[in-house]
Amino acid sequence: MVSEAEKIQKKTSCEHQAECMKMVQMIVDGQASDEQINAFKLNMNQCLPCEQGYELEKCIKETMQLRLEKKCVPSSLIDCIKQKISSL
Amino acid sequence: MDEQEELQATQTYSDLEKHRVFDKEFMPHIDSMYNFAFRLTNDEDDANDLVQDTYLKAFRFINSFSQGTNAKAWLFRILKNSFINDFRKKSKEPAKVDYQDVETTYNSEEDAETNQTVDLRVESVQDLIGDEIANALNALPVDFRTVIILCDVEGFTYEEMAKILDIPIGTVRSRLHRARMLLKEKLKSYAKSLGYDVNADSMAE
Repeated sequence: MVSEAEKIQKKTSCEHQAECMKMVQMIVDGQASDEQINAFKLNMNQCLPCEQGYELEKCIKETMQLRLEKKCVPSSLIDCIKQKISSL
Repeated sequence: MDEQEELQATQTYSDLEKHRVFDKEFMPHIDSMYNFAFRLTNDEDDANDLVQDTYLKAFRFINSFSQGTNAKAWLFRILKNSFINDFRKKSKEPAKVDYQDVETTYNSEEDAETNQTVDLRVESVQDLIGDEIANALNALPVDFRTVIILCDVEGFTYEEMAKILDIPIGTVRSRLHRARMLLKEKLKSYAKSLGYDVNADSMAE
């Protein structure tokens, strides 16, 4: 059974896209208030470009966090720093 | 605030305290510092030198660090300044810059209102491997690469980034926006070169 919410036809173009994308950035970066998040989610439920923009930005951010290789600092560098510090 | 003002002494630690603060507050961030240095320089030896310079400078100016404040942001700021002021000048390989990217991006950095979109599928991004992501990031001019690293990889807030980079929060936001637009262009090129369909789904369905 299709819920009332699902029956809502989403917009296929966004007249406030620049503003919405700024809000998307704030949300994915954890910089938006709860009020801003709730307002955007309501909007996103009705606007396909906003939903797609949000999903893409979230995906890119997660990709940067998870897939960039994290290098381990060489132990020789730590030893060298400690040695120089102790001789100061 | 310039680096000299930033590093003015506000504490007076004993020698013992200096070493204790250094070990307890600074050393836990050395992996993040090394990765940041490597992403800035794209060279392991250069990253070693930059991290070493930064930690020695941090120790020398330890009296300007207050315990309990944000050591990681303080160290990142020193590293970033060392990179700009000292390291970039003597780097054995000058940064390779796509001047068209820089011109286009800087000309519009303070006017991030423009409605730019890059057609790129979530699926295409998910299919890219780590090396392709790293290459796309490395292809960005260093100032744009920096904000993405600080925000997405290191998880700094806009306020912390503003302090590290010594720019207003509004500029952090707009630079980040521009950096991500450029990154999406690079990711799109990679996805396309690998044969992925990069155009977004039709929205009319």
